[in-house]
Amino acid sequence: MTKHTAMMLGAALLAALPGCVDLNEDPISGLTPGAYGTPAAFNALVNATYEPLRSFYAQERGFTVTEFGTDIYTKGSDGSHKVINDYTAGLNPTESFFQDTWGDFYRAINTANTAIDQAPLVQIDSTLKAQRVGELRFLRALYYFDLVQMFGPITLSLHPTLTPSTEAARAPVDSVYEAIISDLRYAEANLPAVAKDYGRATKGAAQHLLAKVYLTRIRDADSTADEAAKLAAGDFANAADYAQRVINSGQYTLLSRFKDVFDFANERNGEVIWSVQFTPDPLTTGNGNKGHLYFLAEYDVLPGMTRDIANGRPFKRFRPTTFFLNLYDRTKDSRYDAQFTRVWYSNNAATIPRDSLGVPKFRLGDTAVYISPTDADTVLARTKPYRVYTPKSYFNKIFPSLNKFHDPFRLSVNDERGSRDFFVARLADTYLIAAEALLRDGRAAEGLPYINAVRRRAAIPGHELEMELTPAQFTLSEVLNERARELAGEMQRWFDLVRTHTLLARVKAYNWMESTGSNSIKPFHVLRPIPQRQIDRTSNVYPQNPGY
Amino acid sequence: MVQDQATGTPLQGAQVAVVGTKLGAEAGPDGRYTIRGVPSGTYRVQAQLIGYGLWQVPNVVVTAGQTVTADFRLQQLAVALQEVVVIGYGTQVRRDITGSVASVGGNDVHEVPKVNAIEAIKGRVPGVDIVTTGNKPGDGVRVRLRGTRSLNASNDPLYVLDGIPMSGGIGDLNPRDIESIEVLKDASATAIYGSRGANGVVLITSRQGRAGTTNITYDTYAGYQEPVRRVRMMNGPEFAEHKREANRTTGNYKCPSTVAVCDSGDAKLFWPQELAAMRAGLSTDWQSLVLREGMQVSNEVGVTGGDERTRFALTLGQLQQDGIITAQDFRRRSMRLNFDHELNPRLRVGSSTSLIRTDQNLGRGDGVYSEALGNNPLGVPYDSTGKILFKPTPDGQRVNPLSDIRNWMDERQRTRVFGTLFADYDLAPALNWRLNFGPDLTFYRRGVFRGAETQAMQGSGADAGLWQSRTFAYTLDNILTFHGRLGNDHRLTTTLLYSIQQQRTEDDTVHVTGVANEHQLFYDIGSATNVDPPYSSLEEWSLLSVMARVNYTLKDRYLFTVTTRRDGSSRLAPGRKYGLFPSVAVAWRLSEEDLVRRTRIFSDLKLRASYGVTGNTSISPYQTEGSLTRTIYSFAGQAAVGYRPGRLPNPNLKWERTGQMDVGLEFTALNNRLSGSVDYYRADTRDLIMERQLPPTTGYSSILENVGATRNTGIEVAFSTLLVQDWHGLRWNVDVNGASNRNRIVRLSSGLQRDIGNGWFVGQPIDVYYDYQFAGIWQHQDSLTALGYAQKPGQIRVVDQPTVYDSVTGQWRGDGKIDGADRVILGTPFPRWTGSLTSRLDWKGIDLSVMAVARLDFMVHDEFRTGQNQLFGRYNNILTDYWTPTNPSNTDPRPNADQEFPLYGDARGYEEGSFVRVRNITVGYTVPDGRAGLFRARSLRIYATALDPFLFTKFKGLDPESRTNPGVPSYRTVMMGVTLGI
Repeated sequence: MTKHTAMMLGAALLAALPGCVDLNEDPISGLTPGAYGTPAAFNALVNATYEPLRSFYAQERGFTVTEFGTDIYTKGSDGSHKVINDYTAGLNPTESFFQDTWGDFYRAINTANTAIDQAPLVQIDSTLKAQRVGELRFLRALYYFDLVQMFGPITLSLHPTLTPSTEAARAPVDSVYEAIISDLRYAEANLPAVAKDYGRATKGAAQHLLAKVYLTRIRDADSTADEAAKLAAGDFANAADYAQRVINSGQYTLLSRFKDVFDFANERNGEVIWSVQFTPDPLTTGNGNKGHLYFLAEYDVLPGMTRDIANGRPFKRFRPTTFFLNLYDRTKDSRYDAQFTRVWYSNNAATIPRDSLGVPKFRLGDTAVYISPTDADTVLARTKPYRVYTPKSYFNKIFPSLNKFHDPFRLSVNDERGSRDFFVARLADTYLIAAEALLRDGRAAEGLPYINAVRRRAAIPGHELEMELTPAQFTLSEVLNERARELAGEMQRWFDLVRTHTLLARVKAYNWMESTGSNSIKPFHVLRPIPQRQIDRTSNVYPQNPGY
Repeated sequence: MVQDQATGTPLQGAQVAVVGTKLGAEAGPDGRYTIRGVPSGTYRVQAQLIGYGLWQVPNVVVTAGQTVTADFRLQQLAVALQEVVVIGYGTQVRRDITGSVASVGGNDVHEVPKVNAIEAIKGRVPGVDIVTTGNKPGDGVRVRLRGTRSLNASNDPLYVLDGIPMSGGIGDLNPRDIESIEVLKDASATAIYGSRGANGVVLITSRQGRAGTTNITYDTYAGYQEPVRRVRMMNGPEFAEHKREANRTTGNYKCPSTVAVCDSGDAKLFWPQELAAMRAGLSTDWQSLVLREGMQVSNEVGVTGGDERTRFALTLGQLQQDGIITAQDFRRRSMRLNFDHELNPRLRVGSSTSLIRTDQNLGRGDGVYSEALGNNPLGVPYDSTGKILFKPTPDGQRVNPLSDIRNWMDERQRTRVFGTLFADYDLAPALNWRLNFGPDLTFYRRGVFRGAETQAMQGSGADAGLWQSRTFAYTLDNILTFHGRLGNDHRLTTTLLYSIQQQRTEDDTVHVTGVANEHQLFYDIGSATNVDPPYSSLEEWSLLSVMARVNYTLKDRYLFTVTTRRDGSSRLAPGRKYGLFPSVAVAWRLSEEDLVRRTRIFSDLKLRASYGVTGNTSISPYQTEGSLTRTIYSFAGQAAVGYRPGRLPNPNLKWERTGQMDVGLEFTALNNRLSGSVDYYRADTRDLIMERQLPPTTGYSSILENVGATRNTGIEVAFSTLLVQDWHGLRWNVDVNGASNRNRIVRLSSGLQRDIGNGWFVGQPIDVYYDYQFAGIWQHQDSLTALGYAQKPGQIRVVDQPTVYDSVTGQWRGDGKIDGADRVILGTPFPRWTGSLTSRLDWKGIDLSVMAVARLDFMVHDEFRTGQNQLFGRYNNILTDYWTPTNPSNTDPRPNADQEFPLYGDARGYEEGSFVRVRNITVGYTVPDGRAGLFRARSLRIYATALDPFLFTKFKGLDPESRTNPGVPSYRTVMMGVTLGI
């Protein structure tokens, strides 16, 4: 009986054990929205709003949707997104580069909105708070600006998503621009001229972006009507005003030589207004600057060559158009030589060609490949021991390679993560914005010095005066050409052509090849397709852009 | 007198009772019985004995002072009906069961020597769909009972080993340790597992010791494995021509206009390596280089024994599998000890403990095979000195798969200890208390090393990583069972349960790049030049339950089961943590009715019906809280860590519940030579927990929500016949199973009929293929029409669905463009029918068994037709009849070097997946008792088995069951084995 009692007691104890089980969850690893409201969480949200810049700027996605399918870049041999260059049926709402940009930027906008709505509750110094909100609104404006240029009318939300709504509407382009301008004006007023942490948004960055926003804003699909409407609304005057504020701020200077702008050793130079940050540390650089990959020709399989870190990893995505290469007057413009790699020196003894006696035709360190800018050099191909390509023999793997983003300091030859900062705003661009804005505002004489400043700087020493444009040469078309020469590869081109209503004409004229014939671009291609994912997941009708 | 109907043997111990009175007696050794003092009147008298059907004699007229005789001839029940079946928190005799419970005995489990224990029941139970999820050594299986209910929460059944729910699955278990497997399918059977019963429950009983002499058994088998099929890729010349054609399309292959192929064009297009191979007529078959003959060997020793009070069973097992891809292997070493002891007649204690260690070496895994498929057949694997060429051609994206095999390690070790400790105490003769404690410890370590010369590292530096996790889970059950009996007519069993289950998992990870010396692998991580941020995490969950079950049997004829369970889960939102899961079942043993009994056809006939509610909470913990995602940026070169909104919190997440109705008929007939069951069920799942996709403009991609309702309906049929009982010593059994399940979405809580973003359509299965419909290839004669779609001849044509009403013709037509509205539901991956056929012949110690399984009427997306068929002149391609200006193929587009992914290329991949596969053929010989002694053995059996030897299907890829994309191919196994008892 005692035993029985003991057993019963034991049973009772065990039965009581479930009382210890706590069904409330306590997530120990990771953070939940419960952390909001503290200065640390607020700062973390600000930092997190910068991060999506790295999903677009200096990435294949960003380069492809801004340089591909323009008058200056066409397709190389590799890559899965050639439809974006060709404007064929594959450029459709499921194209991942548009879907992913859309998703990442709206995620960034929601992060900014979350932080902006929390700001009033956070206990930090009010000046610092205003500066942080200024950064957030600058970034939100930038994300919306990129989106509105690509997609036209888009969803405009200025507050965080708190409940899982599946309804969404497209706001008119005008409301999106009003929001962008309001954000940037706040940013201009509250951001410091110089950021304490290099890489944060500044007053100058906000002014530069405002100038560009005014210049870009499309008020009418018809180019003549648009020009008149913008003029009437004072867009050009505003653009010129903000550009001049940057130029006259004293914070920035044009470097004396074009090639120094992309000097890796001096990337935080006086011409840079604002850049997306990358570092040599894999822990902090995220995707890295990948610009070094895409513009490079396939040098590594040629005789005497192998792939190495100094020469880079050639993805051969983007090939310069003949029109673009011919824009440079190589007798006086330094920018052709400064930004195109044309010679490779042998780095692989094993593949150096040999003559009939078995003697290598050249040695390590000698020229192995020469990409000549002129067909006059065709004769060299027969006389020189190395490979010579002339414009006639360029093809989709071999072409002059833009080297602005060249990066020999990566961890290894195949590491895609470059560490260059990516310049989103630099002073030469501000000068060209000022020139264009004044020209279109009917003040060409005021604008001419700005474009000529850029051109003089680009001159081969001694040819400065020859580089200057006369008032008669100062046309919108020439401004666009100048922007190509100066800003090629810097993720501007497609936007430049769209805002000047020249995309269709210039792509048709210059982005085609004998082999494949004319480009398929249609007028509706000035807007990108709304991602199918957005349309499919929205419970109301989310209209597609016309033509898709 | 009470006798056996067939043999006339007197049945001692049979209980004879006068129905409606308390009078009764027990039959003596001669089968005779006497009941005295029965008042005058007309009575019904019955006799019953375990193992025999009830027998009644009506209209027995008793007159005062006289002796009346009533004789009984009891019919022996089929063995199956007497067997004790595990039903969860207790056992029941088969004939008393009210739910749909299928049993697979040990012999059937062991007949097919598979690595994974659960594969043993494939084809044995209707409504259980088991599909291999991979063919790498040690890969798992996917088990679905009665279809798929849930989209996001798990659809895996609950596995219960010796009473303990196994949160880590049973993939580690040695199949030889299994005594029997019971599959609970209807809600009355599964409702006792409440929140986790919705996907069905698989109960596994491990091998127990038996009183008596100590038995030692030794089992061994060895076999080889080879791929069932290979993919026909292009050879060298075929590849070269496809590359030329791809570049003709883009204008990059130029020849004088009169010829299609020329040296000058080739010289510009092909790399020197390719040209050399073309001149030499070389063509590398990369598939053959990575495939090898696989091997599977198992050795196992078992010792069982005990006396009246103590019993034990010990097994030691070792299994080695070398996969059909070089350098992939799997090894399992296991030990299991079952032990129980009777301390006194009322108290029993015992334990069963498993210690299992598995080692899986996967290298690059499925990627090796796809690398081999994609490699250029004009590249050569070795240089002139016999060294592996890392890059067979200058193509930057293709590496030598042999190099991956050599330099890529992925080693996964699992050490698992689990078991049950129990105490079982009879508090009173009819009242039993049982305490179960089941701890389960898992230590997992995954080490990955990728040398420089691998696809991942592309020749620059090696990386290494270590992933470790430690899981501790336990279950604690208190079970009270009451067995009551009132007269002969009422039997009652009541079970009460109080249970808790908790699990805690810790993970940590470290990953480095720039390993200093490749021979260090992942064993000297600190020496690497760069260490990624280490990662660690903790995850905990608990479940708290009470359950009650009442089984009531009236007159051995009417059976009732009522259960209810209340579960509380930590994973759900506060205020919604608890759920109640009731069920009720009734069964009517028609065979006890005179009408049926008189036909003498059925020895057992049972009609049953049940309804119950079960739940599903198999979602990850912390889903209701939302989360922030860490981000990294930098200012002035310094780290700028951020946190952004990651997951939206969902404070309303509640139990997903399934109400299931089941009607079934079970029978045993024709002198036990035919038995079977038929079931119809309908399961309605509501508050389905699903990841609902959100518009990207919200800043989120999805949220876990209760989003709607689905319905599964189906029938299941199982027949087992003894076709030949004894014809010159020959015995022949045939079992046939069939099941059909239909799944559809009934309602979406968004109120929508079509939710395209999620691929959900009311009235359709929850998993459908929704895409463009392939319509062939645009031909020259249609070039104008093609132009309207911005397409050209040679490109893939899809159907422009009739979405516009043409009022002139009065018909629907396409709108002249291909957009999202032209996607349609093409099919579902759920099979309409599954079935199996098993035949077993025995003749004088020789046995031959054959099993075939079928899955019919379902669609697969064949990724060989899409992913290995890009036709852009760069990677090797499956051999297809592609379009060229002179070859108007209608199946594949013209190769195009500019088009890595042919437009609408996915539309080519949808195929019917139906197949019939011979799952196993086994021939065995059991040495007769007398002769076994010659080998100093108590018993001896030798056998040969072919696993998955034949596959019949129209599917064009490797295997519609387990390999619709490029990865390790499915294989067949041929093995020999010996079972020896000493």
